[in-house]
Amino acid sequence: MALPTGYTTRNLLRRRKQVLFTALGIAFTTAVMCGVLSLRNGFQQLFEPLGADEVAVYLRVGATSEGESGIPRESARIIIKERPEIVRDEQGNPLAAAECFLAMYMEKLNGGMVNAPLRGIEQASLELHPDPPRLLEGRWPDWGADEVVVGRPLVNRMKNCALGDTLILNTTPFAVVGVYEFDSSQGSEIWGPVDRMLEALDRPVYSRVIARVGTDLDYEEATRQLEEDPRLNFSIIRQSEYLASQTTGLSTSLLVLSIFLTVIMGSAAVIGTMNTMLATVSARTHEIGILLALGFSRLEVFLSFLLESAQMGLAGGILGLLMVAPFHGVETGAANFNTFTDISFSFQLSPAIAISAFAVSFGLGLIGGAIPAWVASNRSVVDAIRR
Amino acid sequence: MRFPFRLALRHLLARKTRNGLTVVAISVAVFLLCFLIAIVQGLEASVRSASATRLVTQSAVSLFVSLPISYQHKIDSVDGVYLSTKFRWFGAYYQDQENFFAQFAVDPNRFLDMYTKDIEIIEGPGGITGPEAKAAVQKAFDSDRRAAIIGIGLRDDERYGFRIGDTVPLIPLLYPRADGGAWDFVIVGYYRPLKDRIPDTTMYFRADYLNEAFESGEAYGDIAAGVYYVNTLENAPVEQVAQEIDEMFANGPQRTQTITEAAFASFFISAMGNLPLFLGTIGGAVLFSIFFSVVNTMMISGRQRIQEAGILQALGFRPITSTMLLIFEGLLISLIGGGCGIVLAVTTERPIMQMLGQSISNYHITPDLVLLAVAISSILGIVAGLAAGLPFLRYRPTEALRSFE
Repeated sequence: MALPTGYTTRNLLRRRKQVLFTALGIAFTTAVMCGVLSLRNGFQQLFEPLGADEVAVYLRVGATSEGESGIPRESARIIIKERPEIVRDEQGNPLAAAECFLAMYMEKLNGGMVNAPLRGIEQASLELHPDPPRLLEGRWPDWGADEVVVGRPLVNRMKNCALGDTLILNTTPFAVVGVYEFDSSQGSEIWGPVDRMLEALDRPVYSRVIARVGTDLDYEEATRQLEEDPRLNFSIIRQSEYLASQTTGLSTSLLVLSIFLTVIMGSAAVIGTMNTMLATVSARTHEIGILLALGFSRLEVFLSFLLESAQMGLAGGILGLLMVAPFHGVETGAANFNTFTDISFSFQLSPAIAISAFAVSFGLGLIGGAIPAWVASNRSVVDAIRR
Repeated sequence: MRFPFRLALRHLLARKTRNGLTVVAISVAVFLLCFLIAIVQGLEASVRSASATRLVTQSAVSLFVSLPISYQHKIDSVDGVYLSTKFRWFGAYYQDQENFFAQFAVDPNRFLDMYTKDIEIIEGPGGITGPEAKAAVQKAFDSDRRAAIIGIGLRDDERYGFRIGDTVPLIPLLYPRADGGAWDFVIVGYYRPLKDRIPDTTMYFRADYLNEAFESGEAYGDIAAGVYYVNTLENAPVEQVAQEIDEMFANGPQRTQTITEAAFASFFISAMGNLPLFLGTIGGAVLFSIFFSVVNTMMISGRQRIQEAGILQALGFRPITSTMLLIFEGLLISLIGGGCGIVLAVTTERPIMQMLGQSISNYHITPDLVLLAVAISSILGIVAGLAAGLPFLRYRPTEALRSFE
């Protein structure tokens, strides 16, 4: 015969304050873990745009990011006009754009400076993505004018980024004529006509060429052809791979941080649980004796205490999730170590994070309860009943 | 009646498992707290002790826009300027991408004259040490355009182990050579930082080595200076000098923004975005979780001790004695735990510093931090004792004597 689960639950309810405090220890551990993981999740989501495999990026050979890469204007035109892998639209125009990229000083609205990503784009930049950027307010820039559009998250974070404001690039004023939304890492950038920007910044070269190439492109073959062309000094890489390579720094740091914190805070929480359960066991020694005398097996007593502790852990996990839930969707910004620019992203809880929260809190309860439950189940019947 | 100290100690020893576990939990948490605070302080350390008489003239647009070399003699001609040096990020690695350290192209002889209070040349070519080493290094810089000096950290790191006289090939990320190969540097001296914020893992070399290679087509890159570090004369009006420099270049080709070295350093922290805030929030959560674990322990003790409180009162102690007992015990437990945590933080300081490496070069458990940890532990102990002990004040002796758990 098994001990009814109602027995353990009712025991927990009897010592509400103590159970609550123990569960809170576990709750904070879970909350910190979920918080860091959901930040990482929100950050990574930006770098997983749909259909990214249809898009390829051309960089200078040896460059690992746009900031390092430099592409002379003539070579960029050769790629866009001549490369066979680039898809064309109905009018026969190549879906490819030369872009420049610069981490630019910007003042935050709440003070302090950050590196904001500035990107010079072309008409095709808006069309080549399978899930293209959308205009929220205003209009797209006039391709011959000193005008920019800004990503939605910037409007509330940076100075001079609202519709109608003027941004000064070096010595040239650019008018903010639109606000765009783009579900990708490029969603918090400032975009303007590439040639106007290079002119204003007094820079000679593009940073990259980006193009729609179709999903069945043989990248090895394309790389070989590029290597053989003496006019070009470029590598071609899938956008998905390129994006993944830009996230490693911050993403790995956040993962390591969350594991490190969970282990350390978790061990403190386990100790708290153990203390509570040991006190419970010692207070209920008499009761344990009676259970054993009634014929419940030692295993059943062990399991019932273990279950009690695990339930407490789970309660902590739920509390912890409730603590981070209000943060879901809250936008924040941090430096992306790989590009050294500020990127806006939000806390994104996910089912996987919730499940790992339950698993970890349940596990913490189990670990904390194991020794006390073993102590309980190994009491001698006679001694226990006499207490 | 006197406060029963011995009773308090007996209590602690009577519950070895529970109190021991709590001590462990507190020490783990205090260690974590020290770790987090030390990281945030490490990030901020670069701002402290930055020179007040040194300015940085940079592009007003971006850290990644290089200033023209033609700016230098104009900057030098401004009243109040003592010396200036180019300062350009090179960004190359040794053998493997993992082996990355900072390299800067500077005007070495000007640089060394400007940084006498910040770094010290401890050895030059031919084993020259002492005060003559600097002059020997400056001579070596004049005679070989590949000459470079390195911090002692690079000499001592077994991944590099660079020695004076070595030719070190570095593979470029930013400035490829026409032959596709590496840039060669010849080590001519070691420096030792005299200030905390200056890393000992940096290499400084001649800016004209780069610019000449770009000019001759040996390598690809623009002939430029990066930023300029500018030392002002003592008592020169620093702000006015900065303003004067910026006004000279207000109409381009590159607009400049001249700020103090401290402001320049603080930008790098501000550029981290909300990371320090995240760490602070986590620290808060850690604090709360230790708090609950101590309060929990003390409350368990308290509940088991109601009867004892009655006995003490019957013996003539005032009810507050029982409360004080719990506060005293809580204080002792948290101080022992906090102490262990501090010891743990101090002993792991070196390995953690090495683990963090380049990213956070100023991880230090400072005396201030230790004091803070002690203060936090004491407050925790007192509050936990109070939370557990206050109910005793409500009980009358008879009531307390009758209760049991």
